[in-house]
Amino acid sequence: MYNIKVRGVLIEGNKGYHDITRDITSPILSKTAPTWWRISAFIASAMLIWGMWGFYNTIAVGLGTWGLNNSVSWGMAIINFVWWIGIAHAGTAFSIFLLVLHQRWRTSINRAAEAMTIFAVLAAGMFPMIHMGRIWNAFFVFPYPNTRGPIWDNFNSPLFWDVTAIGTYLTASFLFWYVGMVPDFASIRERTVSKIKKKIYGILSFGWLGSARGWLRFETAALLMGGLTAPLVISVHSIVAMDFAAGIVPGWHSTIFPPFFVVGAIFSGFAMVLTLMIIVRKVYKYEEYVTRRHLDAIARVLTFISLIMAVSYISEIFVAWYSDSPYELYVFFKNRATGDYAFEFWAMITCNTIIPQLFWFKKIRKNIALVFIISIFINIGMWFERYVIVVTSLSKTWLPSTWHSYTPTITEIAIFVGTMGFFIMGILLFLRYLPMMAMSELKGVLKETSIVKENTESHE
Amino acid sequence: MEKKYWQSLEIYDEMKKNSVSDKEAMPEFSIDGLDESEIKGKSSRRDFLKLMGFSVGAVVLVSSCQMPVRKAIPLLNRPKGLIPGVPNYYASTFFDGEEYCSILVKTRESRPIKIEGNDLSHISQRGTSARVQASVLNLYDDVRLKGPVKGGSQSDWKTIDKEIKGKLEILKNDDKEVILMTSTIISPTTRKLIGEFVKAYPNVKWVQYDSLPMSAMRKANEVNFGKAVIPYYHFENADVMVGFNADFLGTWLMPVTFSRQFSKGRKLKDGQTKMSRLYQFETNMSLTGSNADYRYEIKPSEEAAVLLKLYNTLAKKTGNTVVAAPAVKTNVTMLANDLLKAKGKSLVVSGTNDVKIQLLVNAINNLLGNYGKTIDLNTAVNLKQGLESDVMQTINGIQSGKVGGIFFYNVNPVYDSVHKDKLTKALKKLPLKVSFATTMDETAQLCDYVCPDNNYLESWNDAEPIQGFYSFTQPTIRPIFDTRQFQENLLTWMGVDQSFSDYLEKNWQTNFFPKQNTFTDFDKFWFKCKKDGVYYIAAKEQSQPAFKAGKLEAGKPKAGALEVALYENISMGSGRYANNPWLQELPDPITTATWDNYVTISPAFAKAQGLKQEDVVKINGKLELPVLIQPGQTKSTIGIALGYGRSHAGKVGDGVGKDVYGLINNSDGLNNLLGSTVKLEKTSKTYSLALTQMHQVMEGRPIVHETVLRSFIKNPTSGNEAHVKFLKTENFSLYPEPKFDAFQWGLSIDLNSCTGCSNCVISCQAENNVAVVGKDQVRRGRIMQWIRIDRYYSEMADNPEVFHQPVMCLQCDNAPCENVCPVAALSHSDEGLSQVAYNRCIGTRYCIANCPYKVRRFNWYEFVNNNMFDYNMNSDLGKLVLNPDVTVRQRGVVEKCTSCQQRIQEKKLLAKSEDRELRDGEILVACQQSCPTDAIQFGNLLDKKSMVSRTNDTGRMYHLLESLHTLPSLSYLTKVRNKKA
Amino acid sequence: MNNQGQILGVFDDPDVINTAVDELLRNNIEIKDVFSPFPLEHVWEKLNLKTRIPYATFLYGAFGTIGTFAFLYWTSVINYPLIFGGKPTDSLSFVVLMFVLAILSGVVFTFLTFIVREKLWPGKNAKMPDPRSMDDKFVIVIEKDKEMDEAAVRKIDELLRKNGAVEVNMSNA
Repeated sequence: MYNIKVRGVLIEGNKGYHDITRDITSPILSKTAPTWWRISAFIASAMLIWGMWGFYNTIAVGLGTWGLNNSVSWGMAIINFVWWIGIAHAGTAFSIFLLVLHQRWRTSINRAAEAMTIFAVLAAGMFPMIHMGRIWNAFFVFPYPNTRGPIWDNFNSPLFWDVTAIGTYLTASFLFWYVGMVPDFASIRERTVSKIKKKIYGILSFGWLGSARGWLRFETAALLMGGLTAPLVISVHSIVAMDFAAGIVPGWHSTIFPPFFVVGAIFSGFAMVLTLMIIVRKVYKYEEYVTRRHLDAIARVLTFISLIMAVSYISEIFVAWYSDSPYELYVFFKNRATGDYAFEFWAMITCNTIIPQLFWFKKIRKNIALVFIISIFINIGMWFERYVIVVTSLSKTWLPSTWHSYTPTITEIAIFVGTMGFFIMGILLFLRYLPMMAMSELKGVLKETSIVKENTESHE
Repeated sequence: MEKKYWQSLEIYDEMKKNSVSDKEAMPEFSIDGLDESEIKGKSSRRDFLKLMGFSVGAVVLVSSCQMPVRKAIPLLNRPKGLIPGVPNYYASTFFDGEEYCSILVKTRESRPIKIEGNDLSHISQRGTSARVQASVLNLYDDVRLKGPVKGGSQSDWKTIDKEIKGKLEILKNDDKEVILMTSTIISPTTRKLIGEFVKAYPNVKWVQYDSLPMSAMRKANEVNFGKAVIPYYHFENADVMVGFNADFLGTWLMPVTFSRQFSKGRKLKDGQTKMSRLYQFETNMSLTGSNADYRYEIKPSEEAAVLLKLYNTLAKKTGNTVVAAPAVKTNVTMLANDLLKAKGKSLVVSGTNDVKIQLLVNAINNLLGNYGKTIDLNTAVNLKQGLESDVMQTINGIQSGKVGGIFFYNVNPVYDSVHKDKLTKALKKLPLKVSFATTMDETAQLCDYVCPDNNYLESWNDAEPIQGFYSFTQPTIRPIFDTRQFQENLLTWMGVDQSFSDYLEKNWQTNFFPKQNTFTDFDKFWFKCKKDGVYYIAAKEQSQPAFKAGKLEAGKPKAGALEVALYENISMGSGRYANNPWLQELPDPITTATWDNYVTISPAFAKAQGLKQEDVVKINGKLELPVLIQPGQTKSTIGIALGYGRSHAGKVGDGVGKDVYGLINNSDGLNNLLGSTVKLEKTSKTYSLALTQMHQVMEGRPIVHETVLRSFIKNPTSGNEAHVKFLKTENFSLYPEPKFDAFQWGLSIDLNSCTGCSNCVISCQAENNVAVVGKDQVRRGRIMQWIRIDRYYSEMADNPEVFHQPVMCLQCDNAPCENVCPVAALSHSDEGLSQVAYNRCIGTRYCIANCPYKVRRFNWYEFVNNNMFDYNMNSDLGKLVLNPDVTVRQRGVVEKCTSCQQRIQEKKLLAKSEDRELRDGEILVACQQSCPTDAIQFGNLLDKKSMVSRTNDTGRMYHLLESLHTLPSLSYLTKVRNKKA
Repeated sequence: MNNQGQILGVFDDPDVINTAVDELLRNNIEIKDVFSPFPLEHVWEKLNLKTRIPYATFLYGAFGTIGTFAFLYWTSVINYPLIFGGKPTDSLSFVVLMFVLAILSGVVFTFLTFIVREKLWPGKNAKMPDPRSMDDKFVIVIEKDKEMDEAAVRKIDELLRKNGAVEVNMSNA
């Protein structure tokens, strides 16, 4: 009576509700962390410590320790900032878009993706701060009542929009993430035997009961928050794009930037999700949850997006040519395509538009190792894209007398590596102490038939 | 708070007086504070010192010298004319033995902080040079000796006097010669004093020493006119100027004066369409060459031949006898025609110290009848009086043992003499060696006694740079250290109990006062002299001496050999300012290099030799220098700047660059910068140079607009098409035009007058407390100077045209920088200035990224009190040069040109307190104030009659990168070259 | 009403519980609540539960938009107008911030509303009728009140078992 198949199973190896609970909570409830976890934690913290040295060096000695100069006043810091923000988009893109679109296959990935968002945004957030050198003045950015007039802020500065957008994005995605975890905290609370864990997860679970009314409010709130956060995926990176597009620097001042950046962000975000999930499903034996179908789906999406990227690059160059402005022409044709920055430019093109095309072949999509490598390439390519945008444009602007080159210093690299360490550390802690998949949602999609009823009802 | 009533009339008057005296408490150009006592007479100096008391106190405290503290008088009652916070200006004179300039010294709380040009001087006419501007920093240099030194250790004047007097007596008795080696001395009073000193000690022989004399010119003039003089030139009267290796706009003889004259002849304001033409024949690309209308590359050995060819061409056309001449390919026919058209209104000069060449130059000038018109032999220039022969004699004298003692005043032959090695060896034998150097320089550290001289800002003196033109030096601060003026020493050792100031005054009373008849009272006369700083006694008209032909000849140009052309550059000159960080960091206007000297080679030569920029080459197998590829450098020649490689300059200057005085060509006994030939071999090493400009050409962008005189006369907007196009098609905006009600400050730069002398850069640095960042930071593109003089080449080929373009903040009305600052640290004032609130800036550097002109500077480090940057801002003494009206920026803050906000404010307040309108031209911003060519105008754009508005009101006006619609308040005027096409 | 304890019908299949709920409702037995490890949309409809959170959220968003505009206008036009790059002080670009901050206030206040309405707070001590409903069980809770006699209770018990309850527990107050 109930066994009408309406779609392929989302979770393989016919599991029961209890199996799900067990599988997801076991890493959290186990007393000791696995060896691979400790090793990677060690490496991550090493990276983190080097990064801290970079921070110290910048704050104590001054920004002179970076490779910037009075022509190229933005460098690695901004590049990495945009890069991380881009990666941060995966989480929201996944969970929220797919939630709003009732794509139920997302359930086994979205939690991890959201976690990625949180840590990526935090990593990104460090750069604008350290970028100023005197971070203790950062609070000037807030329009707090002051005795200087009071001077408020310049609310038309894209940088101010940026601060607001990033702040909002962090808050919103964190809350969304947390709300999603509340029921799972509750099940851990009920499941664990250790006193401390019971206490901690009890606090985290806010005393969640899982009553019908509770679930109703829960679902509604989650849907609303998700729906509200969805536009942020667009707006945040559009605003980051405006940092450049609102400037008059040739190579920046372009109306295509906001959509171009958003797409790029989702591109890099999905790639990063792919990278992480491939690792996670391997080390946690979650192949049944993160199935090949998932990876395949992401790969297809990436192929599509990389084509959009290609179009953006081409139209950018076309507009430069069409504008017939000597400055634009110089940036795109002399400086980028054939000039001092040809390598970075072509690296970007190759990694972002050519390599992903391999996903057209089913064989490659099926080969996890290749998929993994390609996802890495995309991440690198996106980094180069930001490098090309920031550095090539600034190094050769309007007056040739002011042209100057830029090479990052060890301090800048240290800071970048440090944020990577921070990110990895964050993910590791997440894997160890938080339910890395939404149990309640998994259970929701366990039985195909539960959908049937929904469908019939929606037909009436 | 009980009310105050005046009890009696006296008190009432008292009150009124006070209020009056407060009114007059306003800054103004005067030696206000001196005058009263001056006019009363004798006791002037003591009053002056009293007035200095306070500052001395401050200075004494910081400068760890042995000055008794009781001299630090707190201002219990304000000295007249000294109002804390209000600057006083003192007319004075800058003369360092080589360069003359009449100046005003700006003092705040009685400490000199800025040098300005004195417009009463008709020689330097308010202009200054970079070196003059920077000289104020030497006053606060830590390496200055704090007191007399005996045998390398601190001593005191009493013992010094006793011992030197004693030794002088001894040498007098067993009459050994004593050499008094001084720099050229143009002070009539000092000359008189030295004369008396020589009378007192007949065994003393006075020798004037110049590291780079102009003896050849004197000799030539002696041959041709029987007068061994350097004539005074009038470039402003010349329609055609020809320079042969004479960088008269940069370093030759009187650059400030000549720049002023040069620009006079080329101004195109108020519809004037006449413009002189400059031909330059030179080996290196010099500043003058970069401003030439026609520039020819010649090898040093070709100069004579080219001159002779020119002479012959002229002779032919004027029907004079032709002289046999070696062949040179340089074409001079066009020049010859131009010169003949401009007979009597032309001028040929050569900077080469070679009698043959100077005779040729004289002959040509004589053919053209320039004497009495553009060349004035009767008003001789008193600079450069040194003769190589005297130095040679001295050295021989010492070696032969004829000489028993030597005094060095304001010279450093052990560093900058051609015969330094001989001299050093010789000096060892001498029983008495005394130096008056202010620092332990190469010469001083070989002397038994060093009697440190005052800085010129602490001294009294007079000067006669050219015949009949007098100029005065007066102290603007009490000697900071236990130093004593050279002249005082002589007086003491002669046993005359008189201060030099009194001696000076007496001398003027007896010898000069009678010569004039405008003043009857000497005190009034003397006061005026010091108030104006200059005094001119008109010489009676007399005809030029007759011309006696000399022998005209020219050697064959050397073939194949690699010839050196040494040169002095704008900043270092002969090297006496090596310890001045401002000058060390001043980018060379041609190469834009700082902190080094280098070998300039032509692109062709570089290709031939396979040399790249910054490759190190070995010269004559010992001297290693990096190469710099210099378009315009004559092929198979190299240029190297003198004045580097000091070993005892101080912590800033030591070991910067390499010393090349050894390469001077002394073959015929004269120090000739040109002509020695060298071997040059490539090494595997490279050495990084700190250039401020990496890209040399304009990439076809409308940055410097230029045209030629012809098309300008036809159409005033020629060359300025970009601007016309802008007005027609591009001048619109989403937003309403910005409006200003009272003032809109505007600056206009005439690219036709600007020679790129870089004086404004230092002037700005001094005025606005701009930090020195050192070679490494300059290399990283972090130089802080607010004015950048962009230099473009027409193309990177050989012998290109050169453009100089000063760029400071353009104060855009639609400033891109303001839009993007998140914290509102940047905003637009209602007077059209783009303002920065330093203490609000958080250093996002978005404004720098978004400034199309890249005129904004970021403080990458704390440049103050930071041992990483051990320059004047890291020393308590050095900090005294800071301008209290301008904030010293801290780390992490973006700074930029403010259009001298503080000066605008000062004058506005003055006008307000005098209850009148602000006069046009009353505000002089720092760069404009000292510009020797008046290329910069500043004023109110809303006032259509203001100088700047009238200057802008020509077809030549344009804004930089107009198509961006940033609406800058700074405008440029098209460069016009006086070329045929 | 005076609590006499509860009847807990424990199921282990979300579809089975549907039919059970139907049955109970048909026998007009008042279901107090249903505890489940994941949301059961159709159960809400059967118990016709409603929530007004969406309206609240709309208000928060509106407040965010208007409040932001008011603040921006006051600071940069009225209170301290500064000229940046020759642009008017009341600028169209306020829209950007209005949009972003509308979302911020929407999300934050919705979250707060959710935990307030649901009376959740960190460390609240949760009284689960049956902890297994956090794992793999679905629990129907029915109030026992005074006028409910043994017979009624047994009837409910049977109903539950007939409709696939794996077990039925009584909790006496």
